[in-house]
Amino acid sequence: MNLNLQWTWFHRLGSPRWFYQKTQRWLPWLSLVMSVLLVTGLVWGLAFAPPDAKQGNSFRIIYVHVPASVVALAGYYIMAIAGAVGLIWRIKLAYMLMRSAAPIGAALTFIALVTGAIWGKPTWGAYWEWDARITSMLILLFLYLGVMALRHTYSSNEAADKASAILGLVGMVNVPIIYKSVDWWQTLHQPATIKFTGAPSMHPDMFMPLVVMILGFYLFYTVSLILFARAEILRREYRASWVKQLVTDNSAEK
Amino acid sequence: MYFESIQQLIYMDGHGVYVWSAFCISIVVMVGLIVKPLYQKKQELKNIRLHIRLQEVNREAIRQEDSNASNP
Repeated sequence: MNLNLQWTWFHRLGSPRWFYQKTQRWLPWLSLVMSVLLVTGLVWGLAFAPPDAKQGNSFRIIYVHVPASVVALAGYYIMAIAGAVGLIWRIKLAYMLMRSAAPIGAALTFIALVTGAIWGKPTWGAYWEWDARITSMLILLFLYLGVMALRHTYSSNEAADKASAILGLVGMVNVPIIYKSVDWWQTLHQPATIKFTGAPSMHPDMFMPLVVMILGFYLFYTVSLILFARAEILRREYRASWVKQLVTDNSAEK
Repeated sequence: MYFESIQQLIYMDGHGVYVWSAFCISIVVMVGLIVKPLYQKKQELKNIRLHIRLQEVNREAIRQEDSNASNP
């Protein structure tokens, strides 16, 4: 009895209806905080932070390159864990979140690669180098694209979800490799700016806007994930009575 | 502001092309990540509305057939 009570939150959390209704209320606030952080970080990083002693103004690309990379990597864990939750507890919402996380992760990895290439030109003299960090990041992009593509290879949602979740879990091996690539191999890519242990290798005037941008990107990820998940819920739950109720209520208002 | 003028902010000692193109590409992609799911949601709502309409039309047709069969 007691055990049942403790687990109700878990099942409510797994209900697409609960998610759809709650996020409706959260979205305006999340979007507001996201916009404030992104605009502040952008203006601060582009116009107010001092230039790098060695790289000059080209270092300002860090304010979009590092946040996009950090969230693309964290987003992979989110996608893989959502897939695992779906496989173990057969929670529909977990699979919907896994599906929604894939295109966002792919787009952020794309941003990381493109901005990195643009940054490489004035800094290293080349747009692309087959170095360990860049190559492992490219593999991350293919993993995300693979999870996206698997959806269309099965006629049933269930089989496609399982296959995508397994691919996601297997691909998780790549994430620590990306993190460690700058330490394990001789790479052209500079070592990590932010470390979990020890002080950042950056002056606070340059570091603070980066922190603001990273937080802004995490919120952006959350908002985008919620938006994709809401569309996915409608796509899969169109037969549910609460969805029909929602649609008829909406048309009555218009 | 670090730069002395807007021109300097845009030029960035020759690095402006790289910095601004990197930021512009990122912004376009990120706007896409917000607009795409919103558009998808709109399409899904449209589909569901159509689905409900079709069900109603079907039910109406069956009712008509039944009443035709009972009063020839």
